[in-house]
Parts: sequence; C-alpha cells; structure tokens
Amino acid sequence: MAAGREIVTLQFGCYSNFIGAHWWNLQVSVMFCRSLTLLPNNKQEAGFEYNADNPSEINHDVLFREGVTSKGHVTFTPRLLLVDLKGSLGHLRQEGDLYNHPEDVNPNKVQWPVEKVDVLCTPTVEKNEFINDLESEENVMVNTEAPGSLPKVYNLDSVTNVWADYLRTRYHPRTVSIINEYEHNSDTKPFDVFNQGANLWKTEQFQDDFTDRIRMYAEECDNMQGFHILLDGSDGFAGLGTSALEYLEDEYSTKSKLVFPTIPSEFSNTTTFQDSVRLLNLALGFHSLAEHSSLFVPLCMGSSGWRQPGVPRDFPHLRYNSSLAYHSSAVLAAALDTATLRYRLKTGMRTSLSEMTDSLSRLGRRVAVASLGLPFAMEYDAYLLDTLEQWEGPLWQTLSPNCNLENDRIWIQSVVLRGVPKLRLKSVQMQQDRNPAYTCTSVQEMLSLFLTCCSYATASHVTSADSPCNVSSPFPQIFSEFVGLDGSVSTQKRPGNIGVYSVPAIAGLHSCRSVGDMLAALNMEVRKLQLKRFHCFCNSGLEEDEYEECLNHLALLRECYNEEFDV
Amino acid sequence: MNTYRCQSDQLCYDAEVICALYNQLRKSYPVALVCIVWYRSLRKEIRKMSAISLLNPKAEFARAAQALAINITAAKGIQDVMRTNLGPKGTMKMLVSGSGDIKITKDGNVLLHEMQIQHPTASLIARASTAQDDMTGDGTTSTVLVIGELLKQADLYISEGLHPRIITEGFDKARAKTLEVLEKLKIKIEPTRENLLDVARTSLRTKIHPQLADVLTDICVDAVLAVRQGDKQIDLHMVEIIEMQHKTSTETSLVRGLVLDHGSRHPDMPKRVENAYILTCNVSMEYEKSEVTAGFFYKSAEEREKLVSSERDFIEKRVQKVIDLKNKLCNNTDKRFVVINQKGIDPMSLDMLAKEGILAVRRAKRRNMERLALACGGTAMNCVDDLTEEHLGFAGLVYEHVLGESKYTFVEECKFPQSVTILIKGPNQHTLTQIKDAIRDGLRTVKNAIDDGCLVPGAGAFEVAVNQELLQYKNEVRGKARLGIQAYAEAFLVIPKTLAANSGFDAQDTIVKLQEEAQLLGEPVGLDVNSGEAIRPADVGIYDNYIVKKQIINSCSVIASNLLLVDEIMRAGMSSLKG
Repeated sequence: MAAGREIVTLQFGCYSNFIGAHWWNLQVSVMFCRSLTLLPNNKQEAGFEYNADNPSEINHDVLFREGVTSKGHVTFTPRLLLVDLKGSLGHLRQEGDLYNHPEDVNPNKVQWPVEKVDVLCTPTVEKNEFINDLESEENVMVNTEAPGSLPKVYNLDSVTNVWADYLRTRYHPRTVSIINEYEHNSDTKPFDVFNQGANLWKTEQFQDDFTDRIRMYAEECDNMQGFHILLDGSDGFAGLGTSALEYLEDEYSTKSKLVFPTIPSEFSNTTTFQDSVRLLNLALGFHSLAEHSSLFVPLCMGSSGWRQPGVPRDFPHLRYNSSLAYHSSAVLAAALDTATLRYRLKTGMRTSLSEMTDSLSRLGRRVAVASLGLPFAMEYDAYLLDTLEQWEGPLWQTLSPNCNLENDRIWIQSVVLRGVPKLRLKSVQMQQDRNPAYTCTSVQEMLSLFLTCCSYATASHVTSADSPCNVSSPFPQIFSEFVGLDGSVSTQKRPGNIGVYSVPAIAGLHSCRSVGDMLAALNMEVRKLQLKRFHCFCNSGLEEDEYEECLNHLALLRECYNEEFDV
Repeated sequence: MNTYRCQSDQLCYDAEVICALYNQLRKSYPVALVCIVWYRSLRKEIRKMSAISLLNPKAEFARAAQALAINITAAKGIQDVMRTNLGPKGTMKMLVSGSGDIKITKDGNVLLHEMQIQHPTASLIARASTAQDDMTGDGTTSTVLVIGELLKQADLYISEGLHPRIITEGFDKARAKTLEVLEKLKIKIEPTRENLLDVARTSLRTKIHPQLADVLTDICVDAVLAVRQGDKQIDLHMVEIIEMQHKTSTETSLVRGLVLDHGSRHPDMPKRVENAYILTCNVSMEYEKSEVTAGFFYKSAEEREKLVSSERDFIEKRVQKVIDLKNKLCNNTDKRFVVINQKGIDPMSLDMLAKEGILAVRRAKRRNMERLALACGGTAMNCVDDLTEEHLGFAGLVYEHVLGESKYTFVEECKFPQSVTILIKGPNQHTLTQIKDAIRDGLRTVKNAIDDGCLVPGAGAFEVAVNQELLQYKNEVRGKARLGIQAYAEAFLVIPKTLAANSGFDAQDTIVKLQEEAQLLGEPVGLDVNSGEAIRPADVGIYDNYIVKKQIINSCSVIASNLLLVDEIMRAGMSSLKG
C-alpha cells in the first residue's frame, strides 16, 4: 500500500521510558544531523527542523506524526503514548510545552475571590545544562552553531535522574499519562505487583482515558501497520501493559503487536522477597504476552535478567556503566532503532511489521531474541568484504536474558546493518577470482552470503541502510577511546575532547533454540516459589488456578522450542 | 558460639534475619542437631522478651494511648488541610507542580488524589472519603471533617478516663438516631426541572465560580433529564463530555445530539450536511492482511498480486453495499448520508464514499455506538449485508468544526435525543479539568436526587437539627454511653461551624444563633453564607442529596469507631526496617 504505514508506540514503565527517550532522541538526531551538516540555513519548524530537499532513506512518518498547534505551527512528534508514575517527570510538564506554553502562576486569574485562593507550590525542579541549552536554542529559533561544526558534548551521567533529563524529542500533549495512585520510587506504596497494574487498567477512568488516546492516534492513521509496545516486565507495569495489549488484541485484532518486555540492569532493592516478586511478575507477564502479542522480545543488559540481573553484557568497544539506567537503556535503544529499520525504510526491499512478526513467530514460537553489534567494528578505510573476512568471534552480542546466540541453533533471523554505504562494499583493486563474495553487488547480498556461510540452515532476512546510528549527545559517551568520530575502530586513541558522533551498527531479531533455555530457566525458578507466601499477589486478586495455568502455559511455550521442525 | 552472641546482641528478631542466621550456622556447622538447638535457644530468648513487656502494664497502656494519639493527630491533620475548602465561600487551591503544571481545585476528592498522604491513618480516612465520592459524587470534604471531629470530641472524654469502647457504643446509638432524623427531615420531591436545579446549584456552587455554576446547573439538569428513560436506571455514560480548548469557560454548552472528537479524513467529503441518514457500524473498511496470520507462500509475484487484489475486492464490495443503500434512499431526495464507523476506513474506501457525497468518519468510540443509537435512532450494525432503512438513524444537521489539529463532528437536531453531549470550553487545560470534575459531580447529584426521590435541607440546617435531636435523645439513654451521644452531637456541628468560619463569621456566634432560631421555628434552619444570618434553606433553594448525608453518617461513624478502638499500631514488612 502506498500511503502511510504507521506504527503506534506504547511505553509502560520507567525503564521502558528510559529506553524510549533514547530511541526517539536517536531518530531526531538523524533528522537533525542531515540538515545541520548539509544545509544549515533551512527553515525551522516549531518542533525541530527537517529537510525536504534531502529526503532521508528512513521513513519517519512510520513512527512520527505531523500536527498543527493552535497557533498554526507545524509539529512533528512521535506517535507515542507513555505511562509512568507520579513524580517521574522531573522538569517535564505533563502536556509538554509544544502546544501550550507554561502559564504563569497568578492567583488573580483564577475565577474566585483572590483572598480565597491558596497557592501551593512544590519546589521547581532544577534543569541541567543540556536541557537549558536546548530550551534557549528553541527560544532564539536560530542555530547558534556554525555550519559544519560539531555538536556539543554533554556529560549527563551524574545529572540524569529521570528520563526527561536527557529527552531531546518533544512529545505531543496527548503522549504522557501519569498514574497518580502510585508514586515513583516510593517505599510505602510501591507499584510492584502484576495485579496492581491489571487492576489499575480495570478502573474506568484510566481505561477510558487511555483507550481514547490510542483511538485518537489510530483514527489519524490511513493504514496502520501495528503497535510497538515497550513495558517494564518486572513490576506492576507488566500487568498494566499486558492488560492494554489484551485490549488491543480485542479492538485492533488485525494489527501486529511487537512487544519488548524490558528488565532493568540494576534493581534498587534486592531482598530475596523482592527478587521473587519480580520473578512472578515476569512469569505472569510472559504468559500473557505469549497469548496476546504477535511477537515478543525480552530485553535486558544483564545476562540472567531475573533474581539478579547477572553479569552485564560485554561489548568489545563499549565502556558502559551497567548500574546507570541512562547507559544501559541507550544500548537497548540503539538495538531497537536498528532492528526496526527493516520496515521503516523508504527504499529497497520494504517489508511490513506483520511480515516480520509472522515469519519470526512460526510454529507458535512467540518469543525472539534481540542482538546488537555496536559499533559494527570497521576500520576507517576498510571495506566490508575485508572486514567480514577477517572477523573473529560473533558479529553481535545477545540482549535477551538467559540466552546466548553464540553456538546457538538459529532458525530464522532478521538482521539489519546500518551505516555501511555501498561505496565501502569492496575494493576495486581486489582480484576477482579469489573470493565468491566479490560478485556481490550490494551490502545486503554480501551480508546474506556471509551469514549463510557461518550458520547452518538459518533463514536470514537482511536489510541494510546507509545512515549510521547517530550517537551525539544526549546519547551517553560510552564508546572506548579507540572508536573514532565516525564510529570506525582504529589502534589510535581519539582525542579526549571529542565525542563519537555516529556509528555503524548491526542488530537482529532471532528465533533460536536458546529461547527454550530462557523459558525453562524462568519456569524452573518460578516453580521454586510458593504463591501463598506472596500475599501481595493473592490480595490483589490472583487466583491459585490462574497462576497454575500460567505456569503450564509457560511450559507449553517452552516445548515449542524443543523439537526441530525446520521450515 | 561467637556468631550467635554477636547476632543476639543486636536484638534482631526479624524472621528473615533468623533464617539467615540459621542458614549461616548450618553452613559453618554441618552437624544439624547442634544448629537446631541453637535456633531454639534463640527463639526462647525472643519469647522471654515479649513476656517482659507483658509483665509491664504501664508500657502497654502507654502504647494504647499513644496509638490513639497517633490516630487522632492524623485525623486532625487531614481535617486541617480540608477545612478551608468547605462551602461556597471556601478557598480555592492552586497546586503548582515542580515542572510548572497547574491544577486549580476546591473539590475534596481531587485534592485528596493530588496530596501525598504518607500517614496510614490519614490515608484510611482519605480512602473513606474517596469511597464517598465513588458512591455519591459529593460530600468528600464533609466526610473528612466529620471523622476528624468525631475523634476530637471522643478524645476529650477519653483523656478523662472514659473507655473508647463506651464511646463507640454511644456512637452506634447516635448513628441510629441520626438516621431517623434524616428520614424525618427528608423532603419528598417530584423530579421536576425546578427541584433538580436547586440541588445541582447547591453542589456546583461549592466547586466553581457562581457565574459558571449557574451555567453548568442548567446543563447538568437538562442533560440528565434528556438521558432519563422512564423509570429505568439512569446511565450517565449516555452523557458524553467533550473538551474543547477554546474561548471561555462560560461558553460551555449542552448539545442535544452527539459531538465526536474526530472528523472526516478526506478533502472532498462534505463538511456540512443536512437531513442526514446516519449509519453506525462496526465494520472494517480497510485493506489489511488476512485475519489468519499463517504465512502465505506465493509461487510468483502475480499470484501475490492476485491475492492482494481479491482482498481489496472484498473490502470494495462492503463499501459498495453502503453506497447502494445510499443510492436507494437518497437519490432524488434532499436527504444525505453519513457513515460513522468504529473500525478503520482506508483512503481508497474514503475516496469511493467521497465520490458519492457521503460523509464518513472512522474509529468512533466504542461507547459512541450505543450513544448514537440513542441520539439518532437506528442500530449499530456489525455487518453491512441486508441493510435497510430502519437500521439507520437520522439527524437534521451534521457538521465539522476544526480547531488546530483537532476536528469535531457535531451530530445535531436529532428527533428524540436520549443521549446528549456536554461541550466544555475553556482557555486552558486546567480550567477544562476543573469544569469536567465539577460536571461529573453535578451530574451525579442530579441523578442521586432522581433516584432518591427526596432531598435534605442544606446550608448546615440538617446538622443543626441532628445536634438538637441528639441532645434530647441523650436524656433517654442511661449510662455512660450518653457521653458518646453527646460527643457525636457536638461533632456534627463542625459542618455549620466551618461554613461560618470560611465565610468570615464567628463560629460560636453563628451556632448559637442557628440553634436559637431552630428552637423557635421548630424547623430546620441553615446559615446564609452572605449575611451570616439564619435562613430557611427551603426559601433559598439550598438542598443536599439524601444519599450523600446517609453515606456520611454511616461511613464516618464506622471509621471513627474503628480508629478509636485501635490500641496498638504495628508496622510490618519492609518499611519497619527503615523506621
């Protein structure tokens, strides 16, 4: 279909919003970057600038929407709904300031006798340097940076408390929903039980409001492809997110729903009891996801995910601090941004979200594994052919808990390589007869060939894109000093004052045998627990039978990964 | 031996610590028997400790009084926060968040939701108040005030040595009597517009500016009367509430029909049609992948094309059926055709419909299917086969209104609309929210009045009457329980007292004045918040809901009694470790 292939994104929970904020930033950076370096004097819109003369290969209309403010400014905002707890927004106003400017606190304006108006202010939240710069830039409406100069590098590691602290994208007023019943980081009334979330969904006020917002986005879409859903898998948001998914299944039954349950790389409270509660949430969530989603991909930067997040995944060229949500979520966002390029490109082999979810979820294998290679390590002047030939070790690192793609049996995979233009495919001087890969005429073809050679009987779908992953600030500076400005790897150190601005990346979604191990591990851990000991679950309405059924379903799902039925 | 001593010195009696210790011992001394003996001796230690505290009655008593003190302080605290809100002269609260979000409210329920209540007792009271709102939609501030006052009055007697149990017995008797008084004072009404206006106005004037309250009063009453169908239970869902950030709040209006918050998505569709048949349906008119998600395998590109086009044909036939019906009914007449679909309509289908001059809107609210059927007639269709005229609704006027990026479709001039829309207007989001909260409560008030079939005199008149009756009743009761009744009688005066204080009058003066006047006239007398004089509520049309008062009497007595009987507050779980 020609027009519109819109996707609506839903984010439930704090960590998901951390990832989401990075993801939207990455996308905006790509749009920004092009006009900044190529055409500095173009028109600036209210949201941000974008450039019509140099159309990007990425179809931003898939995830973004165009709108008009009441004053007639054109805006371009994510087609996004997010839910978070009270107190998790920091300086960000719930409806943003794109459509409505913040109003002065003026008791005289209230329609009530002035002497009878009490003004109760909570202290204003301090904004960090990055946010201040962002705001002043927008107020002046002129780009202060000279054309061709490099964007400023910020160090936000210590000042980031909430995801709004590094959010560059501006959201539509409809985007943010706040749960007033529970407070962010609260000890007395935490939102950490699956059924609390499910019960919250059942309240008329929340459900009416939220479904209405979904409907508003859906109404605008000419030809919606489906939904991306990010949800925190280990707390109450698992229940809320899966309830919402159930609604989507009911109301938008023919649309694909790709779900990413996320697990933070570090938990703030780690008593045995809390670990068990998280485990139960995950099990209940996975059960519901397996039933209602088209495909779901668990994401965690730790290797084991539950009980303890485990050893952080190691990337050869990254130096990230896994205890910072700001860092770990950035890596996951890069993976999401890259892996979803398959159905977000304007050119080339366009496929749809449903095609991808259908092919990866064959035979009831609703769970897939995500992977990422960041950066896709090439030397500055190397060609893809040589790089692949000399490659040692795996191309990517696994991002799903309790799985390991290395030496795994992969049945079906969808791989995206970005940031390697056709110019860097192969050297012209090379001898033609030496290597069969020399006959390849595109990046896609060559990578397919490579993947066929290194794995046995794997059906791979390969997509390639020219534009790299744009990792300038507010993306954290987590690259090792041997990664250059443009993401190339060398033996020389990068000068200290310069950051990395863009990197090539490879990411994939894989349907493979080790998902079975993940599910088996989860099932085994949960079987050890006795539900009766967890009053918070029984109190919020979880029945013993229901729980038992959930465990049985998980075991069944695990069975799907046992036998080898090849396609 | 060392390990054990070190642990017991710290006096850790948490089950988890004991388990950890047990495991630790087990690990270091694999001989199980020894470990178990140690474990037991540890438990003996604990038992000895609690025995000591049982032997000390002073400590125990202190704990009981302390528990009560904690509860009473909490109740007073939350009462102090809410006190200034009560009545039409209460203060408006403007809440500004750290990021600059503004909320303006006077509604107890909204305020309780916004506040961070950490104290367990306070949050119990707050929950009672929220329950009051869920049940009746009004009286949240009163609930908090009365619970607080009941505890305060009881405290006077308890500090003189009266046992809380006796007070609660008195409370129980007083509650029964108060309910009798309520039955006696209630005024039977017919659900006429005039009667309902009074009660709605009373409720709304305590929430928003009088000028706006008067506008909303008419709207709320008319809306409820419109959706009321004979003696059937009133379904307030059939009153749609739509917000429009535009103009001023007094332009809020009632639309006798339906307003949809979306419009047509095709440039050639008519923006305004008159005399329109309305087809409401839940039929997908967009091409999408087949409902069975099994993978397709195509032998060739042509085969794939063929499959796609046959899918397309299928949708086109659906749309054609609607067009056929339109041609049958509307050709050669001045009638027009409107399609309102709950599912999607894709650009190609929109195009087909637009060519025929049909106005089509997609993705309507699920609930609007029901509302449309009530507003315009007809039925919501789940398939477009065998459509006939009687399935269709009718509206005199359908038009579109565009505001920035939001579109609104008005379906008006319906014949017998049994579903209506309140269109809220306001210059900014917080005004809209404030009005919306007020309208919700206003609608509930009107519905309650119709359901009850009776009203209670307002302006504090009921509370003054209760006070008088209880003081008389007290003399009939023997024993110390009468002190409980006395406390209960005093506690209810908090409502007129606070009303007077909030209006700038002396509380004592006013109460005495009201009591004298009530004695003299022998009928309920309330407070005029403007002059500070006594008035007869019936004369000025100040009425409260019967159910609201009943709920307050019941819930406040129960909660206050429960809190009084608490003699030990224990904290368990995670938070106990953090103090």
